[in-house]
Amino acid sequence: MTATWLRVLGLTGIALFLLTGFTPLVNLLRYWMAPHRPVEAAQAIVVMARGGVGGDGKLTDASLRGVVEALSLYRSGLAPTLVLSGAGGAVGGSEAAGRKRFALGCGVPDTAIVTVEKGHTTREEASEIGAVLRSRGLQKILLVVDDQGTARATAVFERLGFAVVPAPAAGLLELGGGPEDRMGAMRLVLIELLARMYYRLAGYL
Amino acid sequence: MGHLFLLLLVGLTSSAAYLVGRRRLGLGRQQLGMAVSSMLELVGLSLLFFTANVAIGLVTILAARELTAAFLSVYTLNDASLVVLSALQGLVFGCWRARS
Repeated sequence: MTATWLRVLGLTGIALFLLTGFTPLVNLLRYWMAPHRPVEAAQAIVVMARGGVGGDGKLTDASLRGVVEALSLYRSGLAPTLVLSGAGGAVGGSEAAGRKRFALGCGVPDTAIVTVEKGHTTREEASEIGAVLRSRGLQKILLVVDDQGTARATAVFERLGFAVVPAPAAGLLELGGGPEDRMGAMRLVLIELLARMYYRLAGYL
Repeated sequence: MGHLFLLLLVGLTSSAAYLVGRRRLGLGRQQLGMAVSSMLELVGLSLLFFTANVAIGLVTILAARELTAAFLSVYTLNDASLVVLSALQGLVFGCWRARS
C-alpha cells in the first residue's frame, strides 16, 4: 500500500516536472496571477525591494531591473516622485541607497527620490512606505514589484488605503523560455502561492 | 525548439541503454518495468523529504521571526541544493527500505 502511494506520488512529481519544463503551463500561471489594469498617471512610483544587495555590495540583477522599470515609468512622465525601497545588506549600504545612486546617475533629481530602508516582508515594507507616502500627502501610486508578487503587494497597499496602479499593469502572455527558466519561474510561482495563503490565513489580505 | 532537442537526446541515450541492456547484458524486459516502479517510489520518497524540509523550514523561520529579533528570509529555502539534498535523502531511505 505504502509503495503504491509512493509510486503515485513519484508519477505525479514527474508529470508536474515535465508539464513545467516542457509546456507553457508556468507562463499561463504567471499570466493568470498578474493583475490586469491599464497604466495611468499617479503621484509616486513605488519600487518594492527585489533581490537586495549582493555579497560584493552591488545591486543584484533583480534589484536593478526593478529600478530600471521605475525609471522607464518616470521618464514617461507617469509620476513625479520615485520611492525606492530596500533594506540594508550584510555588505555595504542598503538596497534603497544603491538604487538611489543608480537613479541619480541616470539623471533623476535628488528632490524626486525618496528612500525607504526598513521592512523585510511585503507587509512591513508596505507599512513603512505607506507612512512616508502619507507624510507627503501622496495617495495614488504606481507599484513596481516582481511579476508574480504584484497582486499580493497591490492588495496590501489597497488595504492600507492607497489607490494602486500595478506596473507592468497587464502582464503579456509570453509562451517562450527553456525548461530551466520555466523551472525557476515555477519555483517563484509556488513561493508566491504559499505567501498568498499565509497572508490570507494571517488576515493581511 | 531547444527543449525538444533535450527530449530527443534523452530519448536517444535511453534507447541506446535499452539495447545495451538487452543485447550485451542480457537484462530482462520484466525487470525494466520493476526498475521503473522502483524509480517512481524513490522519486515519491524524495518528494516527501522535500515537502517535509520545506514545511519544517517554513515553520522554523516563521517561529524564529516571532520569538527573536532576528530576521530570517523564507527565500533561504528557495535554493536548488534543497532539491538535490532531498533527492539524496529519498535515495538513501529508499535503498535502506529495500534492503531491510
